[in-house]
Amino acid sequence: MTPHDLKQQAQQQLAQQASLDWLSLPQKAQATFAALDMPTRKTEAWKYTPLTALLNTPYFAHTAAGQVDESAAADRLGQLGDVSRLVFVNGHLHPGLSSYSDLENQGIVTLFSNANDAQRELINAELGTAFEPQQHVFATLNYSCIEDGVLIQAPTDFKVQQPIQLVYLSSGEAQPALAQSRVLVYGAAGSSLELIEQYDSLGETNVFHNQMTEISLQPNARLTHLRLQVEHESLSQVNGLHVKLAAGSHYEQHALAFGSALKRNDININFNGSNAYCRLNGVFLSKHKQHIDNHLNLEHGVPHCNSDTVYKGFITDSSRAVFNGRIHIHKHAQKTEAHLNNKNLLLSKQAELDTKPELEIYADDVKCSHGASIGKLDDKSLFYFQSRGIDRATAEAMLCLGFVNEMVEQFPNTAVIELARQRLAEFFNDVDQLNHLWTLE
Amino acid sequence: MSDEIESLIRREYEAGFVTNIESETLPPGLNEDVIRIISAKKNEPEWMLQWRLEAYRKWCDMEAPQWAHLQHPPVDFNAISYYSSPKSKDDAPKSLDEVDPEILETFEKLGIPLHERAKLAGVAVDAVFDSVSIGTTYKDELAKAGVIFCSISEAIKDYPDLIQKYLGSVVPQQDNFYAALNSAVFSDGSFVYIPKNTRCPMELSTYFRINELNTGQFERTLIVADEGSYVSYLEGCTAPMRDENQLHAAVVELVALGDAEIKYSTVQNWYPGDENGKGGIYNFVTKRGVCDGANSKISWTQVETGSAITWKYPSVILRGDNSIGEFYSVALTNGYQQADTGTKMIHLGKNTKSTIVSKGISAGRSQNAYRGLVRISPRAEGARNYTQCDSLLIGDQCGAHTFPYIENKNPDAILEHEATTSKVSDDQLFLCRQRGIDEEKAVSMIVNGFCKEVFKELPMEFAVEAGKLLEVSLEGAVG
Repeated sequence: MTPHDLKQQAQQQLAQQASLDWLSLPQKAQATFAALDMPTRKTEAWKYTPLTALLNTPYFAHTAAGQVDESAAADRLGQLGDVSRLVFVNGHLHPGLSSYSDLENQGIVTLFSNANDAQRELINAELGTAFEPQQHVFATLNYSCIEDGVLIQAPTDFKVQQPIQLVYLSSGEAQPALAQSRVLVYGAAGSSLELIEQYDSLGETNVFHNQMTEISLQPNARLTHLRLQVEHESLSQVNGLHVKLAAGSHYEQHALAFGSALKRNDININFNGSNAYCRLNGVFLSKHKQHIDNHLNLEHGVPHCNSDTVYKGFITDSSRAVFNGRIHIHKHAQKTEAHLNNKNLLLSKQAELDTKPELEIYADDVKCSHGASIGKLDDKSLFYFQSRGIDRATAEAMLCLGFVNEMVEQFPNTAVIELARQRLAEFFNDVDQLNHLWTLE
Repeated sequence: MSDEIESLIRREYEAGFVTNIESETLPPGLNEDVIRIISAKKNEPEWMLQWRLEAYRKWCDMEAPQWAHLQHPPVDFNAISYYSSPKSKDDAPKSLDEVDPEILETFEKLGIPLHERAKLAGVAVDAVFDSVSIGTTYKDELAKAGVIFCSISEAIKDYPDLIQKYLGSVVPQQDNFYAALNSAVFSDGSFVYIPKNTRCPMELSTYFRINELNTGQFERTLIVADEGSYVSYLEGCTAPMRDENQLHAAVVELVALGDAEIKYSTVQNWYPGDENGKGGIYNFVTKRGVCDGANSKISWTQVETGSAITWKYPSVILRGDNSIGEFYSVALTNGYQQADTGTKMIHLGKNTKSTIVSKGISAGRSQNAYRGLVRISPRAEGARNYTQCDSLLIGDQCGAHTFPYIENKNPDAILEHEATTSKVSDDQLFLCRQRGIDEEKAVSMIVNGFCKEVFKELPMEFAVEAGKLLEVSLEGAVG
């Protein structure tokens, strides 16, 4: 098989599916996708993330959500209290598991297929504008065929009280399946919204999930964004998150991500108005033969914006983690303060971590820094525990717990912290020296 | 900033004069015949010619690297002359007394104590003028210690075993595009061999100068420090002011055997082009050292103030257990200069340590990038790396960039990387001016302080020169 199977197959199949006829984007995206080469090892942005297996698997694009065991699915959703919930199974909305009628009636959550004229106009104006299509081939694949999508719209000067929970479930299919879903979040001026994304799975899966989320925050809008990527390790996923920040807007993200067969996150933050603020907090964990790749790009295009980024990595067994954090200060973006930090714990001889924090700065009156560190558990700390009668295994577990927990406990939603801890307990269940980690509390 | 400071930036490049000497220069262009001519002119043995041709054939299949954060029109490799030597009445000069007085005067003007009578601080110098080595000083004294210090052309004839063993052992012919080109056409350079358990009695130094129009300089330096030896080596470079861009594609190979230490310092002051970015040297250099034996150490210190474009990554392969690699760099860019420079530390042996301190200063309309790689192999137990890259921006038209690659395959390794970017702060300037120090001087003080960590690694004479060079290069940058 040639390495371009995925591309050819996707093109053939998507040509047979119909996009919403009022959307202008798919045609453009198809042309761009056709013109772009799939990344190879020589593509700088994919240098450490081999795509050979993905590109050689014949994935089939499905037109409707498959059958799922609804009670098993409901168990995975967590107890998040009073939330509006949209559940997608292998890329398609599952009405039975979803409950969002309140917000639908208020016009806050709308499916693309139900959009009214004003909303269609908004979607046409906003979708596909928060990133450079040439650099994101999987995004153009996603937009090549848009049979539906979700628009989340926070009205002007309105605080949406209920958090919105988006759940993406993956399950096993008869054939390897290409699941594509997309969400557009539009925070109107002065609005406020909390978004919870949960990527989860129902056991083993042969799905390749290609997800696109675009967020556009208008002046002084606020968005708190919680992301749990806690799927089964058999999943392959490329996840694009592209954010546009207008003047005075505030975007805060907290993420927990597990590795899987392939997981790639492209997070792209564009500062388009002054005094905007962005905080990215993340922790990623990988074990077994998992792969996780986080690519962060902060485009400081205007003056007086600040960003703070902290990502921590926990890598063990034969897994591989990749981190790339780029701060790009454009020529006129004076008075920017941007800081990025990546700290990693590498626990196994077979594991590999490749990190690359980048600074690209074209303005002089700025304060920027980045840092990266890779290390093992601190011998002195372990000795300290042991000298107080705590055995080494427990001491190691506690130090690891502390390392991960430092990020998780900053999640601004206790119910989500609880859910994150459940998934972490599952994750650590078969990590030899750490399986009693979460029972310590 | 103030006008006075503006004017300060516009100082002249002091080494920019042309020496009018008769020279013998090959017509521009590159093919196998040119390589045969170069090899024949240097009376090289057949194996050397074959080695060059092999490199040339590999080069033909390679493409110029595009990944660096640099912009320049493609180099026309057929517009360059690959060999130029000052013409002397007979053949090569037999001793310093026979060297064209004009050339000696040139080096005199540059402050190179070439002539032994002008003994300065006891530094042995090998001077390379365009393509050939002009003379090496203090040869006798070095010979007493058993140290070999001569031009590489001589070494090929006199010490073929050492050359065959080590040439290309650190930077193979096909290593990269410019290294392959250098391997094919290198004309001269220095060779140093320090015998076992010998501490080289003096600092060794090479001075490179490009003089002829439309020539490229492709020198090759090879330093071998045998077990338990120590050598400190200095390198300096200048070129005349010309409107055309000239190519400098050198290769430097260092081999440190067990317990040996090599300290390699560079002050690079090639012509950077005029204030409109016209002319200047393209400095595309491959420098690499291998710490082959246990407990060996290689330390690179560089002060880069010249060149229109710098593409240079002095690296260390830490193969021996407990070996140490160091990289200290100050890169200053002004005007339209572009620099993409940094280092690679490849940790292979156990308990290997590396330290990287890089200080980038961008002024004018220049672009200054640090690009580094730290790679820890699965066998490198207890490896340790510390990296610090700081950038200072002077003016709002320039850019400062950091691209560190960190690849770790060993859980026992500890790696730290830190980078900051800032400008000369108004508070610091205010404090200085309040105490009666004018703005120019204040900036110079602040920049010098910023670079201090690196300067202290330089040998004394060089540290003074580097400080001055920085001052001149910055003139007019403040405003």
